[in-house]
Amino acid sequence: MLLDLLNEETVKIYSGAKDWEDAGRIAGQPLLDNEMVEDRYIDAMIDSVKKYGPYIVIAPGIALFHARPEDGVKTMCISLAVFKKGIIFNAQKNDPVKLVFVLGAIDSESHLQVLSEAMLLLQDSSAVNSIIASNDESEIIRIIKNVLA
Amino acid sequence: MLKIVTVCGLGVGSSLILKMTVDSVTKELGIKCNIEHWDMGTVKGRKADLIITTSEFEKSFEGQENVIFIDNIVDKKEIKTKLVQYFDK
Repeated sequence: MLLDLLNEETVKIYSGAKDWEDAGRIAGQPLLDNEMVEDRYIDAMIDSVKKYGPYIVIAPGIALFHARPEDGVKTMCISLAVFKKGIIFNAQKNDPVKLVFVLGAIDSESHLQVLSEAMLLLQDSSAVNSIIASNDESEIIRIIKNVLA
Repeated sequence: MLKIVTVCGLGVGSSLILKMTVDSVTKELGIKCNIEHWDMGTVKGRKADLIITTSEFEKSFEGQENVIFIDNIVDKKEIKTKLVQYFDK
């Protein structure tokens, strides 16, 4: 399921970003380009961090941006941006962030499978470190495939 | 039955991940409970026996005793340790 959504269109490596907001916009761009979310969805997920704080940094070095399904999700989707230079989210123990996911959910439950596979991946610290170190998107997809195999 | 809720800003992402982690930890510990995932709005208006959320929300629950704060929501060890501490009290 996760690998149906994470592919060479939606996994990208970047050198860095200006700040956490820029990182979120960069990470969401593939979902815009592939018409999976509307522009306003990206704004909504940024606004949510402004409103609630950087709780989207769910683990050391890992952020999961998202907004609500009704904020402009066209189809369930997820993207992954790897930032070589870590980004400060002001997230206490979990900064700096190098992996930024953007999730577009269509309701409150149907992305359960995607998230549970993402969790398996994030619980595997050697896989996470290999992803962070990788300079090749197709290699990242292979790493994820190996974890989920 | 014990009602545990996991909470995040929108009730879509982090709280659902947290619910899955808490689900597997409570099973390991043999704790019988119902677990739901809520957003910040819901948790203000409804009651639960135990609230589990991320450390970023500490201020929102100031003065409340039935709350556990988690730094790494995919880390079963952290959640297990904090749950055991909570139930020992």
